[in-house]
Amino acid sequence: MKEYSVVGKSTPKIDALDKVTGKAIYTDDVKMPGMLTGKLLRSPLPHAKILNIDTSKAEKLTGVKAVITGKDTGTKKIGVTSLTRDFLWDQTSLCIDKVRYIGDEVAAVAAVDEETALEALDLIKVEYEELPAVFDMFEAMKPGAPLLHEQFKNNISNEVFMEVGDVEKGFKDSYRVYENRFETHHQALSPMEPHSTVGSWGGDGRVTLWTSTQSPFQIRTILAYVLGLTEGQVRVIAPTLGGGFGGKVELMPMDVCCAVLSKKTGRPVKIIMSRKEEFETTRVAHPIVMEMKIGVSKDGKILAKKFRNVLDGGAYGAGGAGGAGPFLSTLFLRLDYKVANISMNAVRVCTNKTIAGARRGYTGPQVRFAECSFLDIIAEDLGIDPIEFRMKNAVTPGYTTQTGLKITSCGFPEAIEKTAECIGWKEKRGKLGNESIGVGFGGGGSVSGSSYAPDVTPMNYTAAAMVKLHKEGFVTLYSGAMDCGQGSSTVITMIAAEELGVSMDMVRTVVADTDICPYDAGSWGQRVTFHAGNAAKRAAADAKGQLFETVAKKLEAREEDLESRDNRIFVKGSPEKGMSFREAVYLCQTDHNGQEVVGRGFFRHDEKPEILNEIFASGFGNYCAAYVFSAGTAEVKVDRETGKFEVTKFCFAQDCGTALNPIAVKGQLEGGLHMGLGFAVHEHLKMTNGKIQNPSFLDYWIPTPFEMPVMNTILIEPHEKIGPFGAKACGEGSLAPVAPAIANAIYDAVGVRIKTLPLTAEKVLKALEEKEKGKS
Amino acid sequence: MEKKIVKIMVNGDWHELLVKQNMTLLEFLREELNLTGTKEACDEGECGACTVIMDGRSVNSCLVPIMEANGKEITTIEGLAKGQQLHPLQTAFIENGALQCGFCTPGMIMSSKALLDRNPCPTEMEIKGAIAGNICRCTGYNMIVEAIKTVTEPKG
Repeated sequence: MKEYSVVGKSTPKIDALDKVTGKAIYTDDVKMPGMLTGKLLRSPLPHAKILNIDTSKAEKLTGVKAVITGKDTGTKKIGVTSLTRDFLWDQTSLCIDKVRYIGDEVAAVAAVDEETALEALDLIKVEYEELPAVFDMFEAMKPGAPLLHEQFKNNISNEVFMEVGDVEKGFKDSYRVYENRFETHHQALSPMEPHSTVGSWGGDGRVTLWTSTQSPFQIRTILAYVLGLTEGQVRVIAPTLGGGFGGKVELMPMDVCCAVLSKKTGRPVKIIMSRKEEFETTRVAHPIVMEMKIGVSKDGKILAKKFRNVLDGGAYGAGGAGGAGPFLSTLFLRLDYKVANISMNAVRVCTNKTIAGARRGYTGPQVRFAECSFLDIIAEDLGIDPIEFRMKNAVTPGYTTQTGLKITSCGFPEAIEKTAECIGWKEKRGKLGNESIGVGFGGGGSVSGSSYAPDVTPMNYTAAAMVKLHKEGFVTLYSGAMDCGQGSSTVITMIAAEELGVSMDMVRTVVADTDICPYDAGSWGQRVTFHAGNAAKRAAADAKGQLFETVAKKLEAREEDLESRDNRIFVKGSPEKGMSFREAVYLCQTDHNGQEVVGRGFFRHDEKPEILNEIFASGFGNYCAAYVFSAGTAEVKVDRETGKFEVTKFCFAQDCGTALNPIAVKGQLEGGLHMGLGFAVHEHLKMTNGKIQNPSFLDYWIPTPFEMPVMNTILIEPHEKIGPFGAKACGEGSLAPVAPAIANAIYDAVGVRIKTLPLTAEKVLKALEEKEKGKS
Repeated sequence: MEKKIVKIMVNGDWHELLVKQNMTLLEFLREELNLTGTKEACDEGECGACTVIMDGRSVNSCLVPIMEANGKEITTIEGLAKGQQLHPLQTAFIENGALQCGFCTPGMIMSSKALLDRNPCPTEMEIKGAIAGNICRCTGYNMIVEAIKTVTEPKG
């Protein structure tokens, strides 16, 4: 294999210096002359008609510059780009006729300072007529239940159903058939940077939005639509992003309010979510109830599986990022094991609660908890070791699943074996019950570059990049892809540098400004390294090709014999026959009368748009260009007296293709484990009648360093032929193995099975007590 | 709200300003001095993103009423490097992958500095204890702890 100069070596993030010196500019750090502070008035009721809104007193308060309601923001709805805009989009920027959850946006004010804005909110009088509300998704689906949105019958907003093979025959042929039910809860995303926006409506009718977003181009499209502007009249700039985790992929009501308030006042307006608002009104993970049926042969082959996933969507989001929930919840359940007969159904249900959306791993962590727990139950009943059971059924390189997912490179079997070895599976599994110590496994597949957001043009899920070569020898890379903190800008810079044959410090990277950068669908669905990385590589190759043409002529060599490396272009095998990269750019420009050397590149999943739309509707077809796999093993120690348990060690193996920046990959795995541990054990956004009970960091417990186990990370690097330099993805799939590995380890330690998340000491203790009762 | 004059030393310079008495130290730094490196993430003293050093002690600046900071000496993240020369903790964070989104980083570094100033050779548990009030949503803390370890002075 070719020895790389830049990729494959652990490289500090290109923005690290700014971040450690406090110079990095986040949206809240954006300041402008005359800037006003905006605040949102929110519904105190879970479901009510709005009879009247009186803003007159608020408007008269000194220092208040504008008050707006749904009349000002209009009836156009917000969502993510999709063909189904009319039917699925369910949320206006500010409520018009009714409110649907506690926290729903009703009005907004802009004032000279925060204190005045908050005082103004108190002066807005809203008359409500309370409506019956529904908080349980199974109640919500019953006939006669309060309806949140007229267009969603039985409160079901999104549904997918798919069947391949003959699932009933599969069960009939099975040696044994098992049924089970698992349940997950609300996890808050809690990026450290709250949602933040600054909007400025210029005198020329153009709007500029500085906003904390993972998807600047999505924001531009929808904001333009809602405001009745062309996309050319909207510029979205994403300053440094303080974490997203899926919660910052969508246009939020606050974004529209900033723009409209700025139009009214002629001044820039900034809105920053308080931490309480962040907990109560930004996106959360879908709670899912999963009913599963699996049939197996005597020797442990899975013959048939049937699933029904019911997702709690909350008040809105059917046409937002939340709308992908049902589809993805089935995708992850037909990706990792070879099963010929599958029947799957998933529905997203509206309830009068906070809105569920995309959360890192998007439904993967939920369904993986169910599937991996269930497979352990089955393995035990069959008398097969859980690792062996998985190895018998795991997908392998080159395998095409029954539902049309084409697995290219695949390190799943290797990941399973390596994590088992790392935790000491053979020595520990089933052997340390006397000490109440156990080990458990979890793992499965995820996407490498999601192709969701099908639309009328293929452009909407494309990543594009541009490379400009300066005659002074340095390079500017332009990409629309936003760096959420994972280091994507660093990795695309490494890719461009490697392809051009220049050192990292020669490349400046400009991202996420819709006026300057080429289009990118956004940083979600493990897209960036794979999609934006491929685009950057192709743009660099395009520019390099132009240089090679010139250099070949000058050296009287053939283009294909040239190599670019370490800031020099030379004839392969004769490094003395060549010139510096800078001379080559200068020569190329001179040869073309000063024409700039600009390279262009793009990447999109090589599947026809109409097929992708069909995939989303029916589930059949190859959703992504490649797939990644993760596996984890946990060791836990349980206190039988209290039910308390400690996760003492966690081994993580990730099939990420070539690890372009190993330290960043490791960072994703360790971070995934942290968020996964929070999801599995510590984090639970609790609600009573739609009211969130713990909207603060004090009451919503995000793990500290003391809760973190000893971590071992293992990179599995099969070369992915479609990926840039063989790379795939690693950021999201890493959450999924955590909860099931811990649940399975608890079972191994003390023999109790917890089927609902989070895994708490109370549940373990109760299960232990019931187990004792059963014995006596 | 009545205004009062405060005199506070920030990163080696005295600042004498007329401010609202209900202002917090965090607001003073961010709004009055434009030192936006100190971050606001919860405004309730629960996350550590706004950590600065006041008279040698790490504090959540969102909880410090401005009158309490009057006459005191404050160090923020902007005051750590000497010109272009980074503080060893800053270098260690960069080299050890101890940051991702960076929003917790200034507070995390200030908590670590306060620890090392009073205890140059802390144990791993002491390091974890010093940053336990600083929430990081990205890294899982391991690389942060490792980065701090590289700056500690060997015992003996």
